Amino acid sequence: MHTIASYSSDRRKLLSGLFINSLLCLLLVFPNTAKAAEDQQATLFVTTASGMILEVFSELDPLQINIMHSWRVRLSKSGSPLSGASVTMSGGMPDHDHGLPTRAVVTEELEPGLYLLEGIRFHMPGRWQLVFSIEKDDNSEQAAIDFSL
Amino acid sequence: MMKKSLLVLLPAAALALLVWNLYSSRLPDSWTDQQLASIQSLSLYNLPPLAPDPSNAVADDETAAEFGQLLYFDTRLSSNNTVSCANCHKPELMFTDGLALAVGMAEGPRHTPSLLGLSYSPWFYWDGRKDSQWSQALAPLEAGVEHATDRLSISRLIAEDATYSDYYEKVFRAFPDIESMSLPQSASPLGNQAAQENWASMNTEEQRVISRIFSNVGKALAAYQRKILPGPARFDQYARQLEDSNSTQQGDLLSNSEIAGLALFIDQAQCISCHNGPLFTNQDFHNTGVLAVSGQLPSMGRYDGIRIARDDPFNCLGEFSDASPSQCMELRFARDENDLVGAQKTPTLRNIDLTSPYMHGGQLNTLLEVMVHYNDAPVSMLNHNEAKPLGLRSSQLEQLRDFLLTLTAPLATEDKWLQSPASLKP
Repeated sequence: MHTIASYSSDRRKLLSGLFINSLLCLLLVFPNTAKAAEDQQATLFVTTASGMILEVFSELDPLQINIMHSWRVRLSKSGSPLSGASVTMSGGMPDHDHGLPTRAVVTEELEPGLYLLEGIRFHMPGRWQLVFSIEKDDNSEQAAIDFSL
Repeated sequence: MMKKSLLVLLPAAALALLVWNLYSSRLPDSWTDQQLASIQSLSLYNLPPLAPDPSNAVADDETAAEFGQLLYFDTRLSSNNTVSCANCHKPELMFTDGLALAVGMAEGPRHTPSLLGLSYSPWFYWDGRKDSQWSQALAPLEAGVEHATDRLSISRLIAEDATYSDYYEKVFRAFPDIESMSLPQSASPLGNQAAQENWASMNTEEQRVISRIFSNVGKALAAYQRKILPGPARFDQYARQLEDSNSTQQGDLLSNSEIAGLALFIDQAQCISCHNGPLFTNQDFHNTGVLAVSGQLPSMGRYDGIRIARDDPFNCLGEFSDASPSQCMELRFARDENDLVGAQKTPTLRNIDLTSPYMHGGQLNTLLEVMVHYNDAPVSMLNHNEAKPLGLRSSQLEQLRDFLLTLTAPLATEDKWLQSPASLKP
């Protein structure tokens, strides 16, 4: 865009090109600011005993039953993203002795420490319990989250 | 002395038990905010529009639905010209048959489920062995106890019937020239031995052409079935009036017994756990300790169903599906663990009064029997019963039953879809 705008003889095009270019620069310089504006607050979060922070950003917020959707799960420790971990989730409804209706799977690490968890659907109102297992470099840790729908 | 006191105590205890059972709890004057939210979550007025089915490109095509309606009522889609889809899914019985077990060419192993609002479900059959309505529609056609026909015979019928050929070409473009392919008369990989041998004698391309026609028949049948939708009932009128007031009494829309039943449904009896949303079903699978069908081994339920669905060539990820893999979320992320043994699909409760008997094998004849079953929550024959005993009195079970009667209403479907199309009538 910058190249096209710079060589354009049309002054208006040049200005709009420069404007867009400077916006892109802002995005590059302040990626976190841009993300914060795009993001909602974490839908769910937990800090484990070891100080690991797990935040869930749900595509469906607030959470609702009977709708298939995805989550982005952010993992960090001491302010640094926890990248390259193997993340799995299990869980269920303790009051009904059954598990989750779907098997959600991490399909991608979108950026360091931010994982895409696909295939989430809850099918009953009530108390849910999720257990995340995080494994990295022979270390394994679990993070449990309780919530009600 | 002992005898005398027993003579007094026993009748007193019996009387106390009788009074306890018949005593109906007093209704509150108004609903709490949480109760109101639960009630609104069940209202048909809050049912979202039917989402597209990405695996069926003609799911919402009106011409496909007309084609599907013709096929649905046509008994020529059976080996002896006596069985159509409407034999078991009768419009006048809310698309059920009133029987414990379905009867096509012979008695089948399962109770006929209602088709009301079924297009909203991601899974089909009691055990969820099918992941789309079009794929579901194919299985009975080739099942020996149902239509007992085969995909090649159906392809031939469409080729030979001018109305069907026209419809096919309008909806799916050119109909393949199967007459010139020198194929056997009937063939299917799932039919009787002769049909299977014939199928094996065909080359892969011929098989694909016939399976493609067959899958399109399913897609037209699904387009028709997407028209079958429940209409607002007394309960929904009641819920709508509650938008302006939280008083439990809303004129004479619901009786005291029905209102008490509603309160039990959403709170103490926790029916809403599984029978949730405007269709009164979460479209998922639960083991609720229902006895095996007489003469059958207990059903493995969803545990087997998901495995069958994954292996099905007509599933969302298969070559006959119109969806991209990223649109097959339910199939890709389905669970298959041991806790699904014996789990059957939650049915809708819309018009439930008109669709007896109940459960996957029609094991229970009346709604009151169903209430008693859930009140007792018996031990499951396989795995465990997710439901817990409710400890409700018999008067409360009747109130729950009375509430379910408020879900009966005419369908939202236009009349023209509820009968055999004129061109099929003799």
